[in-house]
Amino acid sequence: MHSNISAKKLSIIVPVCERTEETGSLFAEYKTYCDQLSDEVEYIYVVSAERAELTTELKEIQAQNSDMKLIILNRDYGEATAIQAGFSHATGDYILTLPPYKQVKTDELSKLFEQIGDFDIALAKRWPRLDSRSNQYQTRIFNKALQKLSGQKYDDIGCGVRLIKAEVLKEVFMYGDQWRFLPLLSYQIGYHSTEIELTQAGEDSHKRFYSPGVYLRRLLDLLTIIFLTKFNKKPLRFFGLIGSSSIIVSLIGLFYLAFEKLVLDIGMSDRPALVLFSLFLVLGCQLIAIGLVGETVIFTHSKDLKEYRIKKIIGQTE
Amino acid sequence: MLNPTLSVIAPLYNEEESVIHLHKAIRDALDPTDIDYEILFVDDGSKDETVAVCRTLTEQDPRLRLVQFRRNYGQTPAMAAGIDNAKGKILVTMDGDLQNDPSDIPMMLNKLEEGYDIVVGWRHNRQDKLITRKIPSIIANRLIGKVTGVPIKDNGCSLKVYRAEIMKEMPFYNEMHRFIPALLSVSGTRVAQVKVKHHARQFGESKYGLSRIYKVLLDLLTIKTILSVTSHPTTWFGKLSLIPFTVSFLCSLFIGSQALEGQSIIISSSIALIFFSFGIFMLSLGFLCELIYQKGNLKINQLVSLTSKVLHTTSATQSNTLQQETTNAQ
Repeated sequence: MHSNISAKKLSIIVPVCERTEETGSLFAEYKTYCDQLSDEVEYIYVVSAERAELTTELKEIQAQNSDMKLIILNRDYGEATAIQAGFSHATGDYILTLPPYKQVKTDELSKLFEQIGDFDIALAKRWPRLDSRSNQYQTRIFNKALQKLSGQKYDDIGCGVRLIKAEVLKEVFMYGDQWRFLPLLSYQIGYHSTEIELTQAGEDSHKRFYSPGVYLRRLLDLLTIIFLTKFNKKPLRFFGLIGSSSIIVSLIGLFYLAFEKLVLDIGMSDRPALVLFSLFLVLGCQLIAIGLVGETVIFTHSKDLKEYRIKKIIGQTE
Repeated sequence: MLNPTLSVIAPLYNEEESVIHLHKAIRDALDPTDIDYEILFVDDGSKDETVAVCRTLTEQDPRLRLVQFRRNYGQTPAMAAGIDNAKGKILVTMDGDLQNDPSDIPMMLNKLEEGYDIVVGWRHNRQDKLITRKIPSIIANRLIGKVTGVPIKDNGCSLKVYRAEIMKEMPFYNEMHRFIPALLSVSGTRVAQVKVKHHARQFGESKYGLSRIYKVLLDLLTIKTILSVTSHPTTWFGKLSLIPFTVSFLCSLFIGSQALEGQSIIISSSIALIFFSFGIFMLSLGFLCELIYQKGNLKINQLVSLTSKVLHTTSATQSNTLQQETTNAQ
């Protein structure tokens, strides 16, 4: 397997978005190990947002290494966009993405190549983990939630070390912070992923707590992805579910108020609960209406939609 | 090989036992006729040996092709793939599980030749479980007929014969195959319905269950909206917005009577306001839909011209010309 892949060209893409303190010094280490992975290796660093010091440092490295490309984006669009920008300059058959900081032991990267087999994407799973319990719990909670919502099981979807066949990135459409969800998005178009255990790097093990804003964004990302993967092309199923539960709540409440009025003779007209349940009713109807507008969007663009991906056509083609 | 006249499309999902019988049944049905045909099997990500069995079949029969999916996508995408890759002028879709009988195809083709654009099968003697399959299906079909105004007795029957030029223009996604006759009716297509044979499952388990009803209901709402939006973009939402406006108006009347009696009017006036704003919301959605429809790439008007062209070429007799005029008048 190993020799098979090493004959092919490998492009390494590093999206430089966050935790960039060691990025420059890490290049040498990445290069030492990655040059052994394939006969032909190129390095693509994508710096999102102008970071003056870092850019100068990377430019110096670039000047010394002809196999390195440096792409500078004028604004921070998120990791997914950075990777796509890097990919548009990549020529390899395989793409290896690495974070700008150390997540796994670099000398174990070859495991990805050895074990990818027939899969289209090999995800690194940081295991054994060296970092604190709180970090591990955060990872586990996020991945469990994702599994519950999407029905697909990944143990460490937050790890940025990934080996991907070039054709996957050509086809998959992602933007903003959706990089971590690549396996889910590519499953949508019929590409399969596997997780491979790599030992976590000691440098990755410091305690991480993010600002509440980051957690909120993660949560919204999660919802977006669920919407895009599960209810893609059926917006009414999504909005209808929330809308009809809101309507059911309101109907139960309204019936209860009517019951009180008719049987117990408690007047309705001075009860704030009536306003609350009317609001629920209206909210539910509005959500369903929005779902219908979504369906109209899908319908009017349905000529462009292809729900399926063909592996191959067997038999007479002419 | 020249393009065949007829393409038979069957989606397969874990049908390793049925596929040989299916292939034989199609050949037995079509070989006696002198129709030039091709068979398209679509493998919907089967986990068993379906692909391997099909591969050996393609080696024996040059008219058979297999479209293999990367993973399981569902019945409608599988049919869509078949339709997209078919080369025939006339398309036949059918189930891959031997519940439809290919021997009905020649009869349906004759019906199509009478000047119809689509002939749908009706499993009048359906061999399925009564409670979990037949009753939900009867209710669903009644509902679909009522809502769409196209009284098809059996929308769920996969055995259908279409003219390719119309089908290739049609949107075909989600579980829309159920609503194809209704959708086609928008463009003035002429739909015929014929009784077809139906067999009980010989192999494997039935792959669909009761949870479909909820989905069918939502799809129905979608279809109704789409059908309404395509013909009168703003009126549908305009009509809907009448309901909240009426509620709001009734509340206002009530406020008046309350105020005269000197009672507090806070609750009733808030309700009146909530429903009033909801009415405005629905009206604006109507305009939004108009915008969406204008910017979209699917133009029902083009479909209308397409079907009238088809009718023109097939209209040899006086009666057909008359029918064409009525279709155009709609």
